[in-house]
Amino acid sequence: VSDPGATFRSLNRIESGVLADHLSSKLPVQNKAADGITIFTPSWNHRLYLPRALRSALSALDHLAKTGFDAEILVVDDASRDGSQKLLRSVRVLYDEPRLKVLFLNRNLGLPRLRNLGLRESRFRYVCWLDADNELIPENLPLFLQSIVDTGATVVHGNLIAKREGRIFNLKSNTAANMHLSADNQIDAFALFDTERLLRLGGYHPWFYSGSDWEMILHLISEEEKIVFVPAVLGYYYLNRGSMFWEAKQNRENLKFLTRRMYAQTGTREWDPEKVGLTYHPEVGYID
Amino acid sequence: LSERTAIVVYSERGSLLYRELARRIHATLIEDGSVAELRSSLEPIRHEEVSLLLVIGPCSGTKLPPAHRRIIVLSEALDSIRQNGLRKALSSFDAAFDIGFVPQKERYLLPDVPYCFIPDVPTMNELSALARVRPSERSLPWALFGLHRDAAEATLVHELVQLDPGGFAYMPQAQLLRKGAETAKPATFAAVASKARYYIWHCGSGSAPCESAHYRRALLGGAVPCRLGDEVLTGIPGSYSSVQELCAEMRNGDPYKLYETALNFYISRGSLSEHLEKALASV
Repeated sequence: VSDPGATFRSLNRIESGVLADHLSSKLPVQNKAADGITIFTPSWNHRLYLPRALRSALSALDHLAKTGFDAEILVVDDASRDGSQKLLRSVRVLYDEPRLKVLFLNRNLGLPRLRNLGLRESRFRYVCWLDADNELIPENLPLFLQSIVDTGATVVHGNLIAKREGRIFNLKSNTAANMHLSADNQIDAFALFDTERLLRLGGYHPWFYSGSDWEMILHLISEEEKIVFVPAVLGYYYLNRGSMFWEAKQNRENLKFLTRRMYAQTGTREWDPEKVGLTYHPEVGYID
Repeated sequence: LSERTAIVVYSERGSLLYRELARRIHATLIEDGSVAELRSSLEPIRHEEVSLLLVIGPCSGTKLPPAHRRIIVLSEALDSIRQNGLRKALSSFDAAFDIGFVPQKERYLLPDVPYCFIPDVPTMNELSALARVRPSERSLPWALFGLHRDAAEATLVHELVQLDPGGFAYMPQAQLLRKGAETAKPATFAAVASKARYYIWHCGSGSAPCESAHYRRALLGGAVPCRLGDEVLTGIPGSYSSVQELCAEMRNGDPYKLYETALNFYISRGSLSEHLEKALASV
């Protein structure tokens, strides 16, 4: 490919078109408030798990306020069929929290388009994807927000403690972005993102569905966006049967083939292993 | 030592921790009034100038000059697999010095190359620096370094988060790191140690290369050194065999007292120059 950038420019236009189709005709939102964060929780049939995620998010609002950051929680129910809507209405009444916003969709959009909706509708420039079955460590969200502000990164990720069937299973997202990302995803979507940059790059690609987070990270690397690992714990990641993780596992080989082929053609093989991902902690600075 | 001309060689491509050890040994020789030079394995060394060659860490593939005495200095777990890998490299030396906390003579398998243990104690400069350290309030409740292999490490992080979520957890995937690569550079360990109340390193079933370096860095940074491994190092304060034991100490112990205990242990065993002098005299 003589001009790899052209491929991406063209891809961006396609992705922008997808966004326009499924969301609204507005142009990507710019100049959002940079002094806070939107905790975005997409939910589909996760009634059982939502209280845990929301409790952690509500607690994070308090911790963010103590450190001088503004925040909101935006929950979007993706046309659930398990009665999640009733639960969400009750939660809204119970907490009477103006910073907790809930949207109900009539038609199921699927996760990538739901994330794109979050990118557009978030009040703040920075968003933390908190899937409905995961749990934030509320005390640590200010540290991660401070890190994305300090570094100007497009993504800031931290350790996730993975639990399966009630037992600690492993750590995820615990290594700075590296060459191994071209073979498999090691950075989960449960991280902080700069919405303006993601919108400018076209948001999440709906084709990849459960692999859209991996595709997004590869896209960001190819666009030389800054990806920063913060050596602290962002939250708990739950591997539940029927969750996106299991679905992704089923489709892994197809997904790998598609993703590798796409990014192998557009420069992934030329990544500088020393510069793919950075490590930063507000108390220590950049780490190598 | 003062009558000897020594060359201290470290591998340019080797571990940064070994490079740090090479600098400390070089500083020790200079403190003792020796004529000593620090060289990378890539720098040429004229044969006639070498009376004592101290090679710090494995320098495989490096052409070393002949010398009156050639000594290899190691600071890692001498398990049988590692020693088999080192067998060829070790055979060209007059002695192997093992710098660390615990002698490994019973594990040493190469009778043709004499073994000598040197306790890893401070240099004179480090003793002065330690005298100036005043452990103060810390912005990081704990800092954890290690490699993530399985659920055990994840459980360790979970337990520490339950104790205080605001810690520093640096546990990259073991399989994603180059073989023999360090998790971080020495400067990073030192920077974190100066902010953390407890400096924890996890070595699992073995010992990490230059493990005693963590102990020294923690103390120099004003942090309480905590070693977590399957085996407790008897007589060394801050050695724990389970995360529960470690967390109980962190929950109930006084970090200032724990720091003092570890410091007293570390400085009570003399200086590196005394031990190096003895070791050189013995071979």
